[in-house]
This record gives sequence, C-alpha cells and structure tokens, in this order.
Amino acid sequence: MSNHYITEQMVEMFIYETTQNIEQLEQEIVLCEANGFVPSAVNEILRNMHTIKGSSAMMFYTSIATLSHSLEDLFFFLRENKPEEVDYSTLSDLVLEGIDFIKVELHKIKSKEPVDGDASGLIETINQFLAAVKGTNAKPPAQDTGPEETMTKLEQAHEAEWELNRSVSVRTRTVAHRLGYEATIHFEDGCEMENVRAYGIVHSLQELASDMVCDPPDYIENEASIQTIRKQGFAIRFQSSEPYDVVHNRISDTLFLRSLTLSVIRENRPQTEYKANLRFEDGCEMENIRAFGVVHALKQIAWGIACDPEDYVENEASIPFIREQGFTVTFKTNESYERIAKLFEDTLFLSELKLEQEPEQLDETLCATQEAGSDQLTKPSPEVTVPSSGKPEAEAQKPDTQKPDTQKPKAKTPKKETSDHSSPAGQSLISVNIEKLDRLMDLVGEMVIAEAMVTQNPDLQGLQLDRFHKAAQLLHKITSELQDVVMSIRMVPLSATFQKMHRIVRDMCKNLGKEVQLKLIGEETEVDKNVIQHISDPLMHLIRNSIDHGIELPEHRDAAGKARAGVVTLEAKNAGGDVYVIIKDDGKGLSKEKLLEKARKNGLLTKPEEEMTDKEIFGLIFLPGFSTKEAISEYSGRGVGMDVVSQNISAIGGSISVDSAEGSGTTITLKIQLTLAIIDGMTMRVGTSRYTIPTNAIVESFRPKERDIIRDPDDREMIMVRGQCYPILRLHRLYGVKSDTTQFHEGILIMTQHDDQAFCLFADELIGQQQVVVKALPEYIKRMRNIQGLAGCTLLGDGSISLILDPGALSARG
Amino acid sequence: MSHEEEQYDMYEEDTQRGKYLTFKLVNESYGIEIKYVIEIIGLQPVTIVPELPDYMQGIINLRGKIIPVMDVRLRFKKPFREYNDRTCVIVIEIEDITIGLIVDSVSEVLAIPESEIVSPTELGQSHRNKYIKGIGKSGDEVKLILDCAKLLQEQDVTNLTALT
Repeated sequence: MSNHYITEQMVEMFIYETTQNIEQLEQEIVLCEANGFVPSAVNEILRNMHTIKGSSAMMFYTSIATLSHSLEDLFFFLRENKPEEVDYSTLSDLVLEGIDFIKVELHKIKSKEPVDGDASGLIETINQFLAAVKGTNAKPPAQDTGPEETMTKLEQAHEAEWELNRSVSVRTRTVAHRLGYEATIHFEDGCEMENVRAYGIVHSLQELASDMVCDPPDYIENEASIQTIRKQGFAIRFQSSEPYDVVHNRISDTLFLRSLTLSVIRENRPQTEYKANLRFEDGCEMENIRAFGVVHALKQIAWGIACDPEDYVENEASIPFIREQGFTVTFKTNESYERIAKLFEDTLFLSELKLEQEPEQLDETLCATQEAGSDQLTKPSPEVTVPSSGKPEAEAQKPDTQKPDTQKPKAKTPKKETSDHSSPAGQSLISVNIEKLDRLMDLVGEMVIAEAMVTQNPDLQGLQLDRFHKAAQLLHKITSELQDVVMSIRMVPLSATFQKMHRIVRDMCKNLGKEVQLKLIGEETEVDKNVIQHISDPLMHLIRNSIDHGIELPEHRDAAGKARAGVVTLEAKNAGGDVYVIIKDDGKGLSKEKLLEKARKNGLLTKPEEEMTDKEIFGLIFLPGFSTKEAISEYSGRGVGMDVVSQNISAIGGSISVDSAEGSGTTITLKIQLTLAIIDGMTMRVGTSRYTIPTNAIVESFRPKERDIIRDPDDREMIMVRGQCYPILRLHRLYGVKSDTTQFHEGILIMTQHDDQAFCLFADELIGQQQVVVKALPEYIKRMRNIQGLAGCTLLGDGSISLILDPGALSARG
Repeated sequence: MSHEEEQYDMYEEDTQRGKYLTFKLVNESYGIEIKYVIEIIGLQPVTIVPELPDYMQGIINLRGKIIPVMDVRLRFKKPFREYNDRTCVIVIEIEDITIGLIVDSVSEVLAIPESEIVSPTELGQSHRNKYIKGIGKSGDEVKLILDCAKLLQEQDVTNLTALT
C-alpha cells in the first residue's frame, strides 16, 4: 500500500474524527430504532457513513472503507426508495455490528497493530439484506421509474468509488474508438535505474499512444523518483486507439518487469481543465495537510495539477492564506464533472467548494451541469458537514424531506427525545492532545507555587511594602483566574459517556426481552477528563446491573401493577466540589434478607447482622464475589462487575452509596470529586517530613489529653471522643520517620473520615491549609513499590515536597 | 526523523562517545557515560519516602520536577557517610527515567578510548561486579565504568528478597 504520505498526525486525526463519527452513528442508530428511521435521521446516518468512508479510503484502510461503503448503499437505498417493509431491528443489528467492527479496527490502528480485520462476511450479509429489502419492495417498473434511475446512479457512484480506491481490475468496455488506459508498472527488485527503464516504456508507447501522463511526473530529471517508483510503481495514463491486448503486450515486453496492471479508463472523454477553490471549515486545523490529501486523491484522476498557494505542504505560513482565500487548484482531467465534484466532497471539513471549468471547452460543462442541475457551479457540499453539526439547512432543499412523513415505517412523531438528537457534543471544538493540557496544568501549578515563594519570601518579613503587596495581590488574582481557566479546559461534559449507555440498554433489552427506557438528566455536567475515563466502565456495569437484576420482565411488571417498560434514570449533578452521578431504576429493588443470607453463606459478614445498618447491608453488593443471582448470564452473575465499580470509583477518590426499597427500585449514588489535579489540602509536619491530607477528609483536629487514650492488650491505641472510640494511627511510626514528638500531648490528632470509617492521625503539628497541585510519585519509585496510603506528592510554597496521604488506603491500615 | 536531524544526532553522539563523567565514591573513582548525564547539582533537602530500600534516599524537587535520588554508596552496600559540601547529585536520564545519584564528589569529564577499557569478564569470576561495565585506564589511574541501566534495574531482585 502506498501510505508513505500518511503522517502520524493524520492517523491521529483520522482516529479522532472516525471515533467521533462512529459514536454519533451509534447513538443515531439506537435512537432511530426507537423512534423510527425518519428521513432526516437517515440523512444524518448517510452523512456519517460517507465521512467515515471518505477518510478511511484516504488513509487506505480499505476494510473500513468497503464496509462503510456497503452500509452507505443500504441507507442510500432506504433514502431514495423509501421501502415500506424493512426489518428495522435486523437493520440496526447489522449497522451496530458494522460499528463494532470499525471500533475494533480503530483500536488496532491506535495500538499500531496491523489493520487486518476482514469485513467481507458482514458485507455479504449486508448485501443480502439489501437484496432482500429490494426484493420485497420491488415495484412494477411501469409505475415508477424512480428506483431504477437511482439504482443506476448508485452503480455509477460505485464505479467511481472503486477507481478511487485504485481497484484496478481490467475493464474491457470498448465504447469509443480511442481508449483511455491506465497502467501501473512495478520493476523487479534490484534492477536499478527504474526511472530510465520507465522512460524506455514511455518511449516505446509513444508511437501508439498520445496524451501521456506519468506519475511521478518528474521521473527523468529527479533521481529521488526512483524510490517512489520502487514503492508505488510507475503509473502512466494515456490514450490509444489500439485494443487492450496490443497495449498490454507492448508494455509487457519491458525488461525486468515484475508486475503490470493495465486497465481501461471508463469513457474516453476529452480532457477538460478545471479550477477548484476549496474552503475548509473554521477551526479544522492543518488546512495545508487537508489540502494535500485532496491533491493526492486528485492525482489519481487528473494531471497538470497546479496549486495556489504553491508551497502549501512545506510552508506552514500558507495555512492562514488557505483559511482566507481558500485553496485553489487547477488541473486537467477527462473525468466527468460529478466524479470530480464527488472527489472533492469526500474531503473532510470542507465547507465550500467552487468547481469551475476553464472556459475553453464549454461543451462538457454544459452537459455536466444539465445533468446535475443548475446550481452546480457554486455547489454547496451538503454531504460534507462537520460531524455532529445537527441538521444543516441544506437538507431542507432536498426533495425527499419535503415528502409527507406518512411513508415512514413507524409513524411516530419524533418526541422530546429529539432534543438528545442534536446532542450537546455538537459545538465547534478543537482537539488538543491531553499531554499538552497536562503540561499546561503542571506549569500553572508551578506558577502558583512560585508565586507563593515570591510573596511569602522570608526576606520580605518585617518590611513595609505597601506597593509590593498591591502588585502581589494583582498577581495572585491573575494566577488564580488562570488556574480556574486551565481547570475548566480539562472539564468535559458527561454527555458522551451517558449517550453510550443507550446502546447497552438497547442490546440488553433485545437479549433479555425486557422493556427499558433510559432517561438522561444533567448530561451537560462537566467533570475532569481523568474522571470521565474512570467512570465510564463503572457506569456501564451499574446500568447492566440495573437492567439485569433490577428491572423485571414485562409480564412480571404487569402483574405488579407497574408500567410494562421499566425506567432507568441516569442523572448527574454538581454539588460543591463534587459531582453526583445517580443511577436509579424502578425495578424490584434489593432484598435485605437475600443479601444477608448470601453474605452469611459466603462468610462475608464482618459484623453481627442485627448491628448492620441498611447502608451497610446494601453495600455488600460491592464485595468481590458477591452475586445474588443464581445463574450466570451474559451480563452478570459472576460478582465481578460491582467490584470493578467500587475499585474504579475509589481509585479516583469517589464513594458509592446504595439505597433501595424492595419492590420499587434501587438508587445508586456515586460521589466523585470534580477534579483530581488540584486539591484543597491540610499540610502537617512529622519530624522533618511533611504530609498533606485532603481537607474534605478532615473532621476536626485537636490536642489530645493523655487520659483519653485507651490501649488495648495488643497495644493498639484508641481515643475516646464524645463517647465514640477512634483508632489512632501514628504517622511517625507508620512511615518510620524520626520524630521527637511521640507523646500525644505534644502533638496533634487529626480526625479523618473516609466513607463511614473515622480514625485519628497523629502528627507533630499542623502547618496550614492550602491548595496543592497533585503530582504523581516518580515512575521509578512507583515501579519499585506501591506505597500504601500515599496518593502522590506536591510542592509546597517554600519549594519543599510534601507527600499526599490517601485517607481511603490509610483507613484500611488503621 | 528528517535527514538533517539524523545527521545532527549522529554528530552529537560522536562528540559524546568515549567521554565519561568521573566521580569519587569511597576510595574508588567511577565513570558514567556522559550521554546519560543531564546535570550535576549540589545536594538539596531530600524528602524521605517511606517503605523504600535504604539506598533510595527519597525524592527531591528539581525545578518543579520531582525526581527520586539514590545513594550510590548504600547501593553498593558501602558504609553511609554524612553528606558534606562536596556531596553531589548527578542527575541521569536513562530509558525515560530521571534519577539523581548521590556521590561523594564529582571529578571531571574524561575521554577514555575504547581500547583502554577492559571488560570485567577478562578479570575472572571473582572480580566481576554486576554494576561495572568495564574498567577504564586514564593515565595511571583506573576508573570503574558504571552500567547505569543495571544500576536501576537490579532493584527487582532486591525488592523480592526484601519482601520475602
């Protein structure tokens, strides 16, 4: 494959764009299945498919391209013919299967594995399905010529596509007396001087061919072209009146020829000169590389390509020019106007295309424009819009949307769910590498520290510095504002994560024969990017659990006097520095007796049953290996899922609580900190070491009296506070720090709470409360040992390092 | 990587080849290949990280970057000596790990041609030390060339034994 021009950057961009498109497509399909395939949605799907196809073909991921191509065919047929009887459930299954395939392939691309998935089986199924749909919906030809017409159009479109993908099978359609040929020649390895040999071929063809175009064009003068020829082969396009085999024999006579692909180009049209002006959408970035992609695609069908700006590839400065003036390219080709227009429209992020023929040969233009309608000269590209930009107005002009909706398979009017439809993800966004953001975050953190180092510098103590303090205050204001902005950049709405759940609900309903509605509330709530990564899996498990264990079968619900369809509500809301994510179902709820019984059987009870609170009983479901289900199903029953949930949530310092009423449903609440990067911490001293603990974990701090201390026979120390007994954790003993303060009345106790467990930390003294930037411990140390109870480290105002304590892990040790 | 960059890299590698930063430890003189060395700093206050082997002194703040520091004396099971104003931290980077090595004092940068370096295997079994890559001669002095990668990797073994 000739992918030498594909840069890392392009791959990254491709992955990003395609992932977005795929996700959108998935949502679209799931929504459509519920609400019916309305024309606007079908158009949206087509657009998405088309974009995926275009970009994957450009990147030479043929399996993805062909798959999306066949899916596009399917939807094209649906849009054009509006068949009445379609098995929409099978259709959705097919598309989702396709989506899964592309996801797998994308993953391979990401992890740099060979993209070797084989979609042919799936494509076959899709084609069969399409054939079946066509079969059941065939109309007598006399009634309506529409379908046939569109079919031929569709076939033409195919052909164009295939050539674009360089599928160079030999076509022998001898229509005109002069034929266009395309030959790709590979020489044997190690034969050297490929360019000279290529010249030999061109020379020998001269007597029977005309209008020769070669790729690489500068093969004679340019030694570097040898490499290109070795890699990609030497391509010639020419016209000849000789039949196929004569030409083939002539070229085959060449010495050292390894392989030859010779094909006849469709019709032999006179060559026409075109001028195209392309504009890209605002904020799509790397316009020059996108332009390069266009030119590269164009090279396959055109020659004499001239670009303005000329040096767009090397010269970064050309980007603003392209943004302002558009990218202009002139070329000669013998392809039809539509073919070229289509090629341009396949470009991603194209916002405007002006395609004109140079005045000399107007006859071609006329017939081209007549075919395609009068508004073609400055044709807006309706198919190429930014992914997720909702519904562009261009659609309104299309005839099919104006038809009455009665033809829809399920004549449901789209309800309020359509508000989900133009999802909140549809803003104009730029993608930034997360590493850059992390770096920015680090820098801002360092600046905050540096600021403290300056303004609290010991050299300034005792000086009268009014103006200095004024300036310092201003600096402080700016830095904290900057900090807020940087934090907000890292914030991502939960909507994408929430939307993914639609698919899970759909698949599960199908498999389990349940009816479930998923309600999303507050999906625009924003959390830190890292948090999103950690809660995606837990959410999935929780939703699965709710449907599998919670929601009953429709019959049972009927019997219990509930609506047939269960409702699962996924809600997110902000409260102070925390985000609450609530998963609520109206299913059968948790039975305390069953939970206790199960726990008794597995020996998981740590407390006498009668002493356990409801919360503690419900909390049992998060223990590993705990499942109340007798049978293991595809979705749950192994008792792993909930363990994953609690692991993941505690990894980001969150907590879970469960509430349930038997018969009427379960509510699971996740409480998660808004951000992980900066915490409000209390710093304390132990010997020469400093430790910081998140302020929100601290209940109180006090200097204990020796007589409140209780020691049990194992010499474990505890303290009695207001009638409650708390274990004491001596930090200096825990971490083996040398400290002179070992008597309780000399130091200070910090009562710390994690979940429902409270304990007291013993430190020498408190230093103060401040916002700290959490930094990970050096990789080398993490590799060496996972130190229990340490969440990371941070820099204090004086430049010294403080270790951040993790109350959760400490409580386990306490 | 473009052509020029490649050439530049080769050039840079060339100027670094055969050069060693030498430092003193107990009575011996050691050498580290200069390509690993990022900088040399004076000793800074070290934050102790609990539960690490004794030779891992802790972490220091290197202009906002937090790096671990290792006492090479303790690493070689030599007696600990109080740090003084000659004590230095050599910051090295190897395979994306940045780490500081605490040594008695830093001497100089020396060029030792490859021909002057003897592989320790030639000295026989009893004299072999896993952290020493070779023994270099410079004038009438002998420098022990450290194998930095080993110095950092060997921890796994010690770690396991520490645990059991």
